[in-house]
Amino acid sequence: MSPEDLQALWLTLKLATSTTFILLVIGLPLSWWLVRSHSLAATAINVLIALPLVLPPTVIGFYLLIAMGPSGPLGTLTSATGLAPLAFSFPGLVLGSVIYSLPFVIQPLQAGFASVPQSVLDASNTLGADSKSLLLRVAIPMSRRAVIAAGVLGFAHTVGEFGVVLMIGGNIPGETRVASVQIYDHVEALDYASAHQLSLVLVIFSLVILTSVYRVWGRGVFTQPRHTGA
Amino acid sequence: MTIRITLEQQAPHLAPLSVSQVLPSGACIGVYGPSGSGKTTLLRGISGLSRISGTVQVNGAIWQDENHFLPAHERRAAMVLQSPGLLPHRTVAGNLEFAIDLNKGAKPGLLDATLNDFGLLSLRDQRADTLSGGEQQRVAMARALAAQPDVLLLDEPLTGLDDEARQTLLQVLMRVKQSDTTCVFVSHSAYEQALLADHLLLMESGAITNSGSAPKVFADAPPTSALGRELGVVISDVRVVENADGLAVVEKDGLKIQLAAVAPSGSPFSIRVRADDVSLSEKPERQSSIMNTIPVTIRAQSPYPEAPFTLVELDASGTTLFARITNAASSKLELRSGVRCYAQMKAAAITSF
Repeated sequence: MSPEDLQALWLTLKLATSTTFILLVIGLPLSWWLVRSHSLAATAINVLIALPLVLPPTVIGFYLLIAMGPSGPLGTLTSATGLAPLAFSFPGLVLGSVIYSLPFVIQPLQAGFASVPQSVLDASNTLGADSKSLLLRVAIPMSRRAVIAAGVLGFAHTVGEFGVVLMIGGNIPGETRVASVQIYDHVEALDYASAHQLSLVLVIFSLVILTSVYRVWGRGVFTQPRHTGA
Repeated sequence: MTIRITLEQQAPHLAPLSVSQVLPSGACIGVYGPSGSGKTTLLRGISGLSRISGTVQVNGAIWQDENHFLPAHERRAAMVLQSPGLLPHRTVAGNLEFAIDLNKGAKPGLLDATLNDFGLLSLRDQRADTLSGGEQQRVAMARALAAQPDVLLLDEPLTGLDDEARQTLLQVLMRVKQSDTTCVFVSHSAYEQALLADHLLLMESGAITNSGSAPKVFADAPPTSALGRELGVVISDVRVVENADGLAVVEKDGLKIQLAAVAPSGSPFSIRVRADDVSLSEKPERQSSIMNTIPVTIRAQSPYPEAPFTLVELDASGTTLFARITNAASSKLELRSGVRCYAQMKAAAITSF
């Protein structure tokens, strides 16, 4: 494998890890609020989060690019605060990935939190647990499976991303050229051998992750976490 | 020290509630009523789990009024629900620690003291989801008390448990009752209320139909009401005069009754005789498994609310008993006021408390 291929793989891992971390930090409290709120705002936010599921990635990428541009809201914000523009940069890529993968994290988390019995939440609530404690000490430990599923899906989805990356990141080696774009480049250049090599790495990587997750779930380790107390 | 509760909820799709009570602190307050009568709604209103308009004031602290509403986690009210609601991923000790960590006034040693009080030391390191239903409920009660609440709210905590677990938990609750913990105990079991309630609220369709000291509310309940029917006639201050073959013979004003449940001898206690468990016969029946055959005089008869039954009021040596019999049996025996006959009750049907 060429150094460029390795660089693309490394960048993909970096992007997926940063994105997953941010997705969980945002996703955990957001899903908790969405599950518990019956407001119209919650419905509206749910719809917005789900948009990437139905829209072509290029549409999401296109609007993000406009927003990041000099006259877009994000572009105005970055220039006003003296930050580097987001378009065609790694931070921009992370932002795009977070938005694009958000439904893949939010939906399993919502399902997990919704399955925590109301009696457990009510009893804990009367023992003095506020909403934050309920999330951190009741809902997350009781939804470990869902949290792991959300993390894996968010990570895997980011690794497999192409359209949004190409629209807002372009193709800058070491900065925005991730594995999926590198494969596209190899195919464009009719270098099928290199495309095969890199694709195979991604296929094996995906199989290994999914197999280990399914095996661990099958053994029930995630459903019976060992906790000895507060 | 009192608890003042005024809660009002009248909305088309919500359970109706209209309660205004001043309740004694430090007592066990029973809430009795059929399902759907608003008992749980009342508890949720007190706990702050449901936002119901009104006033809740506990020992001078305002939990809610027109201007304030303390959320559930800021009210010192711990609730035990019919479903124990333990944290399944934690051990017994871990569940108690959850409550103790949230209890700002907790002193060191509270965990061990509570585990000990509730006989949970041997289950200490067992995961909550591996416990039996009765054990889980015992942990739930221990956990609620570890929060050291001003009011302990119990919502049908014994419903759905087997008899053995229920008896064990009743003993636990009797000890809670003897402590100075204020508890509000919701149960549709008259027997549990007779054992536990110092003060009783009867509820129907979201409103309180009677309230006061438990003995008074029991005495007020007509024998045909749900409470009267389930509780039966309560004969208080009875003493064991004889113990033989596993049966206890108790006596009150010359009336002797045999019962299977061996009651603690010495101090006086109460028994209950339910109208459903009393049958009548013209002659004393000796060749029968029924251990109690008591001469009685019929005082009155009235149609039971549900056909085809008659409620017969009996005078047994000055003590009033009731028998619920069919209209057909009443005509067969030609029962009328003043007729003398025999009341029969199985020893197994009489419960003591």
